[in-house]
Amino acid sequence: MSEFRYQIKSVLDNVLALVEELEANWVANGLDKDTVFALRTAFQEAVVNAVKHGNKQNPKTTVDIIYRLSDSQLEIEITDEGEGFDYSSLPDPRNKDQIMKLGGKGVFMMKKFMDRVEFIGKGNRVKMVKLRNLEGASKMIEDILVFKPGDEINANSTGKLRKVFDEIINSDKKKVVVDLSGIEYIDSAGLAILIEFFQRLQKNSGKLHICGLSSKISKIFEVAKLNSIFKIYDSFEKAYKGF
Amino acid sequence: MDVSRETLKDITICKIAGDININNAAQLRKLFEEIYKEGARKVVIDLSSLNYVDSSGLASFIEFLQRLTQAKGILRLSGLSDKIANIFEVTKLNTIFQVFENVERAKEGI
Repeated sequence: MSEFRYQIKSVLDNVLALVEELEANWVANGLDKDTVFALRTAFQEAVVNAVKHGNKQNPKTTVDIIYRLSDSQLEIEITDEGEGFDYSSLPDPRNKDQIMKLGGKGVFMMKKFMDRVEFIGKGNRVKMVKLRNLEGASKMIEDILVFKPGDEINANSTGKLRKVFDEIINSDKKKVVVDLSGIEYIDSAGLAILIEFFQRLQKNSGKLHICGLSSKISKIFEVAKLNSIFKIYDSFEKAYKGF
Repeated sequence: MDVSRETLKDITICKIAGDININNAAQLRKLFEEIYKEGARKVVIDLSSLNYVDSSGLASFIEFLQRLTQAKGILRLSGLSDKIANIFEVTKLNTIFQVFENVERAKEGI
């Protein structure tokens, strides 16, 4: 794993210069075009936020960036000197009452273009992860398979999902993390397929850890009493380390 | 960011090339304001050479759309690359903007 550290003064010009530098680094490290574009989008939004909203463009303040690259993923941590913000209740900018608003799109774009985005503490630090070489949005990290389904799990997508789960069972994976942080909605058909997968995995003496539940999905799990049968973790780190 | 524009009959065609980011989004807003103040109400923006747009750039587009819509004008976007189209899709901005394959198509029936 290689680690890169940068510190920039809170000047917007510096952000773009750094973005260019890192982009070259990503390309040089063999990342594909789509991954580079996604990283650039998320990284630029995050550092601009740190400079503009966090440090209020005060050139006496700095933004710290740590960027770690391994075979399986890229992790970027950005810290500013600001007061942070309430990241627990950000409205979805795609909602009808939000879509015409000029602000509130940046953080959402970060979340969409990265595999994980986590604000830490008071919100002046953000940690973002992009998994490398996403094949069907799944990735082995050591002996753990991490699978992140797309937008929704419903009657339309269960066929595709079942195929992925079949593959996982057939390839005899024993440790599986299903990261639902990209999921906005799950219906009863989706829950059924998740339960079925869980049972098959268990029969094969495998383990399923679930993380990344939004408050909406959390409620659905609670109502269906699934939180008592599934092992649910409140962060990817915990789900991953929980094996 | 490079900008060029021409007016054909009552349609203003504005081509934006390169990157739109936090450093030039203000310049873009100013350009849109100028176009609006000159009285243009049918505007096609050619994004076929646009390489990148960030959230501040998106905000400039939304603001321009609001202004033109309020004045019963029309704003159409055209020629989005896959990457740029992806940004509009992810943010669902493709539901509020009229998006066309190219300038010719965008001009039809405006």
